[in-house]
Amino acid sequence: MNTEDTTNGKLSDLGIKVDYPTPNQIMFRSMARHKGFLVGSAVLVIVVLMAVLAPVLAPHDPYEQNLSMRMIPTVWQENGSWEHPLGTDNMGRDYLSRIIYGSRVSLMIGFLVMIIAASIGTTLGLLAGYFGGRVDMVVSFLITVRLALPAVLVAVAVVALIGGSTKVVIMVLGFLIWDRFAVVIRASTQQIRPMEYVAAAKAAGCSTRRILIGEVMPNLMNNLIVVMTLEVARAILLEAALSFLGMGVQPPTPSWGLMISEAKEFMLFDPHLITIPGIALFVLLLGMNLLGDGIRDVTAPEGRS
Amino acid sequence: MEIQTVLETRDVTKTYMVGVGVMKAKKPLRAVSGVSLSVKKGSVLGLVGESGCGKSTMAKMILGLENVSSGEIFLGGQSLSSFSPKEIARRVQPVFQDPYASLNPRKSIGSIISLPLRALKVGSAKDLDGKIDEIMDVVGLPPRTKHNYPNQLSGGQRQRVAVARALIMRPEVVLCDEPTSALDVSVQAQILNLLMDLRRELGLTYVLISHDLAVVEHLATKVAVMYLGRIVEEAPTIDLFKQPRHPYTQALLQSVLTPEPHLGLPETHLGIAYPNPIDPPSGCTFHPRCPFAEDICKKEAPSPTGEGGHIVECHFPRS
Amino acid sequence: MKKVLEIEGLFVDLQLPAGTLQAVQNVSFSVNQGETLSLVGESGCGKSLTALAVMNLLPPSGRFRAEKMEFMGESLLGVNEAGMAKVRGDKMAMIFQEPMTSLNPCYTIGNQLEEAYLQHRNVPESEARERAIYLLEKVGITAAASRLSQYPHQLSGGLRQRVMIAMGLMCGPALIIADEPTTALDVTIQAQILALLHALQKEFNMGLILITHDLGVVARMADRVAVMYCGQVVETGLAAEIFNNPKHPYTRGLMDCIPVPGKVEPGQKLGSIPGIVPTPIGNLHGCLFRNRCRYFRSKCAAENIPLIELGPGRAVRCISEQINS
Repeated sequence: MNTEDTTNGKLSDLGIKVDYPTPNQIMFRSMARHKGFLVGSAVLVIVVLMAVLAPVLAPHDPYEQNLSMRMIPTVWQENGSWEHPLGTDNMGRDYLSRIIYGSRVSLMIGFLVMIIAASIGTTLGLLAGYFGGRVDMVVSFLITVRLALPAVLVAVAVVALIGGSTKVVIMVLGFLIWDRFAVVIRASTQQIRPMEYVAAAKAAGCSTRRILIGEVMPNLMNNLIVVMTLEVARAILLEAALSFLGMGVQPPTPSWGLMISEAKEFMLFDPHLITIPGIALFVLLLGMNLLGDGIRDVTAPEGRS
Repeated sequence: MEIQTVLETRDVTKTYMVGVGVMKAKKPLRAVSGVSLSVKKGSVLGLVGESGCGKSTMAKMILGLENVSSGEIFLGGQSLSSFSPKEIARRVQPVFQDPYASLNPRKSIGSIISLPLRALKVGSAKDLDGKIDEIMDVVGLPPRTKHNYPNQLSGGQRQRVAVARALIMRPEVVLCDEPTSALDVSVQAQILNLLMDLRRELGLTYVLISHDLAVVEHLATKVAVMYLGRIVEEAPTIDLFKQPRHPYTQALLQSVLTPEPHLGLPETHLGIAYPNPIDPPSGCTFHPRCPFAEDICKKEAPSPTGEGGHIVECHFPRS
Repeated sequence: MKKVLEIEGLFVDLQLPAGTLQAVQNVSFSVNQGETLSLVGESGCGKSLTALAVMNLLPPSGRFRAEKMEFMGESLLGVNEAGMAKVRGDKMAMIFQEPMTSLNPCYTIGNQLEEAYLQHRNVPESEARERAIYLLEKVGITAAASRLSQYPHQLSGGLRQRVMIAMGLMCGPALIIADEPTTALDVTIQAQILALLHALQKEFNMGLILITHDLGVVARMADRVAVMYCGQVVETGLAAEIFNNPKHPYTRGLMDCIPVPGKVEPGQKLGSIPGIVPTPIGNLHGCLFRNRCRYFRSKCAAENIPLIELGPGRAVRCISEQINS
């Protein structure tokens, strides 16, 4: 006899809905309805496609200089042409191609930095939140120290010592911006720790490792993904800032931050050289933030049936 | 043949150090204070008490989730401290109170039920499915729920999942911590009847922790009443309910609101002063609330008295 | 006896990811001055949402409509938020289940009590303070004046619930809605709190709606009872009538389920109702209890079962001949 064998017939005979959606189904349905999520994902998809298909999309080689074709205006200005829709920069390089290839730099650095930071921060946060006591004290101290240091300043200092390059930027930023991961994962783990299913798993004989990976992590994923998305955005912005200061990616690599820096001197007469990469950065960051917020809204209050 | 004692605790005490203020030193909180119990195979020990009495702490210690501050716990004659956590898990399994919180919301029912088997590496992977199906049938869960998630099941069904998970290893002792308190009344009985049946069929031994006296009366063979970390009365079930001797037990029984409309509301004469476990009263810890307290009760803690398996800790046990 | 609250034809719907929850379907009841009406039922029966609908405190995903919703003779339907805010806490008070979360941990008890009064009365703070002390003593809290400066975390659960009751009484309400007021409390404290509530109700001649799943509480406290199942009222009557002569199969089943200490045979099985408590989402029709009912006939699956009057104030939602004889 099971719970649904009742005196007469099944629950579904009453017309009552018996099959409830799984947690994942509920999530996907909410995603489809959330405007911020949809806009953000669309932006991300477009930029990723742009990066992946760069060789196909870009009309010219972003590195190819043509000093006789310097400072050509955009197609909507006087003397512009479709040969160079966004004009050329002071070295005669096609701006559209540089923008398109610039997305590769932003995305690659953004994601790599995020992966490094996530690994460090999540591990620290998990250990601090689960074990508490002295482990928590040490990790909290580390977080406090890290938060006391302004990220850009430290990055600048390190680069000044070692010299700037793409690899250095990735390593420096990766080892710097793990703080948000640590804080969020620590708080989430602290909430999960006292749950009875953790105690039940322990009573069932699970090792600590099994509990952390099998019981705690799956319940952290929601928060983790939100932070990951937002930190990618943060990393992209930081890279742009470093490159702008000349401390990041080195010329002639097409980074949007670097492009803004190189266009500083022409700001008054050819402002489009600054605004175009600025808009590109803005749109990508806005999209990532909308996406992160959307994921958080969609996954946050997971209702009970 | 003598029935063996499956679980025994001897003078077990658990003290926590709790911070009382930001700058002040930590004070000791005695959650459990010198508790001695013994449970024979096939029997059900009911641990009754209200919040702060220490029954949940006892549960955690028996499960091996907390260490004993002093005293010892024995499983089948062997000291608990000599077992590894995995060995304890094979012998003692819990059924917790909250059917919403005791199941991992991100795992399927099948995965939850089989967790003890996988954690303890019992049986091969292909045996797993068979064992899950078998135990689900025993507890009355429809086979299709194996792939569902906890949020898709009702409270009663979730509690059955918890029971299935506890029993899949055929443990020696099943520790039920308020197994039905969070369930609807019409469903509570289903779970309790299930537990009763399984005890007979599988020869299980239970420790049943509950604040609900009626539930305890149905299931338990022996009852121990806890107050502020100590056992104040212990007796076979029928004796305890027919002749409660400790004033606290009497008050507890009087406080239970039975569905008899003509009786109105009971007057338990317990007073408002509810004890703070950090600062327990002197002497007999129950004396501030006891309607029969005398001078000696404030000064001296009573020692257990009584015979015939009915033990009371009171200077003036009632009759 | 004056009617304090009269509800007719109340419907409450909640939008959930899984669909529309028809939490309350066509519920009608009334409460008189000095009388305790108990709404009793298990989870998902809609009793809490009924109370929230009356106070217009439903969650954002909830909607309600009613034919009639009169409080002290005046209709509450269509009253806007500002209007409801004047009523809530003043003439209509609510006591919630969890005293831990109902009191704001950042403010003192005195602060919260006085606020409850000053919101609705334009009086000097000293008068509010005096009233707070008066009510704290009324609910049995000793050294009331010194308690005013304490914070909620410094009090035990029982004391907090007494403070909640005092807070509800600050403006002298005509109706108190108590939603599971003692469920989170220990058994020995529960009896005291209920006795207190009962005494205060009699003294101030208030109406009391007591919402609970505990039939013992209902039996000892209620004058009249409305049993709810799956969003509908399935039986009404005086407490003595319901407990001595339950008519609806669900009510009867519930009575069997209650274990009474001291009257148990060893090894005796507890009564239960087979099946699970349904959640009212979907295409509901016919009697919603029929799949668990021993008196089931095919006509029970037909159109909606009406509430059949068996006498003044006594009604059953059941069309079985065995019930209505």
